[in-house]
Amino acid sequence: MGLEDFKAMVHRCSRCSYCKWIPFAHVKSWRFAKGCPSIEYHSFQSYSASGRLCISLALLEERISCFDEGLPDIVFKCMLDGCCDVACKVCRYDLEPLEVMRNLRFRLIDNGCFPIQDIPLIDNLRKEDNMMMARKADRANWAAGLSLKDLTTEKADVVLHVGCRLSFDEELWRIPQTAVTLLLDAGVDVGILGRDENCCGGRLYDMGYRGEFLKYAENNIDAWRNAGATTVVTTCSDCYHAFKRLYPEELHAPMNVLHITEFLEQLIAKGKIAFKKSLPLKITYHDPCHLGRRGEPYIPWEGRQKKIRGQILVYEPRKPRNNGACGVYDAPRNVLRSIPGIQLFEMERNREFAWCCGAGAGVRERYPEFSFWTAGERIEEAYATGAEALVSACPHCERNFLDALDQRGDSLKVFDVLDLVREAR
Amino acid sequence: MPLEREVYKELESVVGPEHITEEPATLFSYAYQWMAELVPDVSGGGKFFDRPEAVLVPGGVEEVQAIVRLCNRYGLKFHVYSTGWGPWAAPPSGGQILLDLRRMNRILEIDEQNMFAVVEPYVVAAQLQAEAMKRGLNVHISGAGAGTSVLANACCFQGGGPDCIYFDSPQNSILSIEWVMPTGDILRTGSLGSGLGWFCAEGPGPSTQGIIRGALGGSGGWGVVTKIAIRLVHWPGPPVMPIEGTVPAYRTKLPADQFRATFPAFPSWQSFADAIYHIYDSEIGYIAHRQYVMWGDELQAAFLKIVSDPDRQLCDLEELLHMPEIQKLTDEMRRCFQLILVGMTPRDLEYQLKVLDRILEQTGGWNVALVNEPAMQQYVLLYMMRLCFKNLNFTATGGFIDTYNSVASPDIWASGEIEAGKKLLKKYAGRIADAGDQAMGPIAGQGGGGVTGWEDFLFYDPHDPDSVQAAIEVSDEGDRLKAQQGRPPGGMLLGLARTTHTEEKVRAQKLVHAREYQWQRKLKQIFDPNGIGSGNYLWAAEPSTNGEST
Amino acid sequence: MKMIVCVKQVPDPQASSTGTKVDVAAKRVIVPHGTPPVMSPYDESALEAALKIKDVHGGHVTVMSVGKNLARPVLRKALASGADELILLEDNTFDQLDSYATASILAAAIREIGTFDLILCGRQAADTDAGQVGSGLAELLHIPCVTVACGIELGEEKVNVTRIVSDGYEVIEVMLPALVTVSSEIGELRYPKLKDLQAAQKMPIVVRNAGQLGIDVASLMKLNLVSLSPPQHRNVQCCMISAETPEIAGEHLALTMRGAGLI
Repeated sequence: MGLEDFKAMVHRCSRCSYCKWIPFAHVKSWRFAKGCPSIEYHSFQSYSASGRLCISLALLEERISCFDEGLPDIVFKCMLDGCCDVACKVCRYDLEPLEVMRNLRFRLIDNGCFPIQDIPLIDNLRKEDNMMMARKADRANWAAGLSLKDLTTEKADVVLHVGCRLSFDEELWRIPQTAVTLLLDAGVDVGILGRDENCCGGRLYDMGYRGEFLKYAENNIDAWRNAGATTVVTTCSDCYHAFKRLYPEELHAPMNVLHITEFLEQLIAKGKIAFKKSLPLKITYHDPCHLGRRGEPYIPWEGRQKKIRGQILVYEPRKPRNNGACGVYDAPRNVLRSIPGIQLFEMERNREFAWCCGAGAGVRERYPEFSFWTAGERIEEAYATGAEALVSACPHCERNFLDALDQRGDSLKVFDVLDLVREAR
Repeated sequence: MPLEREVYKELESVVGPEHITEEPATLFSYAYQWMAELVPDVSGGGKFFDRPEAVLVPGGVEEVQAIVRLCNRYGLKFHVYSTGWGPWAAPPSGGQILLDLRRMNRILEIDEQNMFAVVEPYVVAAQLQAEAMKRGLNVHISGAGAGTSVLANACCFQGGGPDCIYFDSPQNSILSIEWVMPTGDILRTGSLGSGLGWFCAEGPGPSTQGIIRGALGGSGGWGVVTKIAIRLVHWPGPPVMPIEGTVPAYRTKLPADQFRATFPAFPSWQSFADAIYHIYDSEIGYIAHRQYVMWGDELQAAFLKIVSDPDRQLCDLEELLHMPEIQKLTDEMRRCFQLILVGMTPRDLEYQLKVLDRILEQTGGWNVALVNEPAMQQYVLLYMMRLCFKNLNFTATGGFIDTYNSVASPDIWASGEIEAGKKLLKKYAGRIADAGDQAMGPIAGQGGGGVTGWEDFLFYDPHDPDSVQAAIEVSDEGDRLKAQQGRPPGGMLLGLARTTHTEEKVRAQKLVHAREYQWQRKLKQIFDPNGIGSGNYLWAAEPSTNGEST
Repeated sequence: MKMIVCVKQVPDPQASSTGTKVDVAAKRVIVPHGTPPVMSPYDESALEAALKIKDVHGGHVTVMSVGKNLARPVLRKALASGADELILLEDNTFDQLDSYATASILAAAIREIGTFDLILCGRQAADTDAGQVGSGLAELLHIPCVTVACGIELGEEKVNVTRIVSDGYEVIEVMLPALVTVSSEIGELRYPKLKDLQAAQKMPIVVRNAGQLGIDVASLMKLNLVSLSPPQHRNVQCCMISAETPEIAGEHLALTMRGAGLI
């Protein structure tokens, strides 16, 4: 599929603007009715899903060019968080706005029309296999002192993939370290690839670098196979999305992929993790886009669109809708609810229509100001619940919240689900 | 023609560099026009109208005024845009600048005692409703649904909807207005004009309600309405509508002793019309609309099953249509509408339900049992109360047009017009969706009733040239049929009309014969002496050859 | 010291080859969607060589590239890295050029510039691996050419070029003006800093088209690509030889290979 394959879809967009809001059913206030950070921050219609559909058509019809100077800004100032996709599909069964926007990115990248600030990031990635401008040699430093299997030489059932952010963000090392402790204590046969762990490629894919993504996906799949692993567990929602959705979609490589919160939910249910302490804390949970609405399992589909009753468009056979219905929302909440003392308050925008943290799809790296503004909006929403802490299950969200709070001179606590599990044991 | 640099610089100094753009991609995102393919002589059969020369996103009334004054000084036309949905969103011709009002998005006040809200143009109905409900109030939502501008619906185009029976028509709900006229002068109408607040439309300040609104509003050609006060009504439900269900089949559980969705259905169109009179007379009902028939009387039952079930998709349609229970349901629902009864107290609802029973008894009608299933009851309540699923109107293909529409007294339902509309659509079945009677519309177009009507929906595939051509043909044929009866043409396609479209010229000329348009055109010439306020058919119409209007 | 570095924009050679397809009819290689163009790695090394000379001796570095729809961010990286000037020879006809046409276009542009001391090219491009443009360009400009350099030392009106040969290195002294093609051993291109990239985005670039250069591509094309086909699929089987000690494993490996007739 390329951008040209989406022409019919753009012709059929009814330009309703649902993509700019959370599903209207769920609007509870003026303040938190908005769903799309991109248009809220940039104002012009082009910075919305429907605007980018229009742009795709204008590009295909050669009314504009990839090389127009202002185009990358419009195309890439967007987290691809997918709230637009969910809201669109409340009423439409035949449109895939997120897919169109991704393909628009691929088109620009093919032509070298990327933001120039990508260059150091991508150059370093090519050399060091990470998205953090860090050295490959330092990738396993977080695991120093942990007696973990090295899956470059040993074999294990479960491979723990911690991802670039957690490998190099020292302040967050406690998250993978806790994951290891919990897994080992529960008797799980787990190991890591250590220094040879590669970037998952998921963020690259969203940034438009699908060609580079494929290389990392192939390498990772090979490494897991060589390690004899049957299950990949990850502490990062970005990686989860890459493994759960993109790998099978792009490489037809099904793996048993679990986010750490899904694994913990299972362990808690089996009684393998017990809590000894009470944590009297009012919290609110932020759904990471890549674990929530975009973390739906990939279901292969091959078929066609046909018309019935004259012109009504249907897919034959039934096509997976990917409308956020099957994302991972309950596992992290169930883990949190099982911790004694915790009081969980929901933000107005939650689950499939959660507001994005601002970090995704290269926005944090390319446009930090927009990224932090988006995080700030979420922080306001968290405050509105009366919670003392904002809890998430993705290090990218957590880092962005921490930095945005720092910039605001704010002191809301930010935790990973694992932090609270560790504290309560 | 790009703007002169000097003009651009002046506009930029008004809104600031971050709120003005000439970036081609952005300009095309505003030139994209839903249904543009229906006027191929202007769109070339594609999705784009002329792109604006620049787009500005002003932040408030002062900036709007400054822009309009500059436009007057330089003879530059401007086109105004709120949520951008509808056939009049893109600039109707080239050489214009576009004002996107999305930054003017505040609810300035909700006056609980006097039951009104003051809003800016980019407040959408869902937002105002959510805030009003917290205060025990509710707001009219246009038939286009929760995602449309409260202000634009009230002032600038049709704006009617399913709830007019209780909420009244939007034009009757406008109180004071702040209006940047096409000359750049600011007029504050009603009580606001005398500095007495927003509560009243008619004096002690000037009243321009009739002028600004006219029959269908100025659709972008009347300057810029920057704030309005809009009347609110009682909401006896919870402060926040509780939402359940899996996307997209959301539902709301409202207190059963105060909220009831019903589907009154009738054995004949005469009894259907009689029942409407009875409803008017007995003053029951919060929302009354023939809603789901937009999918066609042949398909509405099956469609309703699909959209209210998260596991179903449109590909299930054929299977459902072959199920005997769906076929039975289809027959039961053929002449039905959706009536939402809301009791201010449980006794009130009890009374309304009794009245409905009595009406059904008298007319030989029935309440379709499907709506009593708990999940369906909750789905329909949410659907009708919030109008949050309104884009389902276009779920079949993405393209629609209304054709053989009617606005009249309830007798119209029994006049044979429904069958005539159905026959018209059937003639093109295959090239457009084959769905049967698609006459969707309000049971009451104004508070308490008196007028009702429908839009004859038809679905065409915007990606299929033959289907597009069929939509044009059926729409033209519908208009010709109506012209023979002295009735005006369909509303939606008119929105697309431009002087360059020969057929549209003819339509527009027919329209300008109508007295209200004559007056509005004359007023426009007075209020907009430089002709800089953009607009569509209403303003673009040529005087007719017999000199009846100018 | 006036240096000109010729760089080619190629699809990222480091991206996955799995999704790469050959369009036999169009005789084109189709890389997966979302594969960015980059400066060909040997060309980046050529630029690094020029910048190293500039670091020590000062001078002026002009970067030049030929093509259709050249990606600005890709080539502006050269400016961010320290080049002084970027000249794009860009035209819709500059598509699928052969080495002779490319060299001719470059020569035309270099003649317009007039004086120069040293021209640097990558030893070969990452997409075609032809390795002909550098020497072709030298021939067209009537200057000496040294290929596959792994080191360049600037002297008085001459350079000493270290070349890799099969059994070691050779050092060649060549009079300026000259052309040198560069190999990767000279070093990777330095990382540009973010602020340099942002500054580079604002720097003017020169764009020259076929008409301005007086070029008619059709008359320059000397090669005709007869056919392009994907490599035959090879079935590779991997057999792991395991044993208690590495010595025994080695023995097993040798025996297995002999058994298979491989040694």
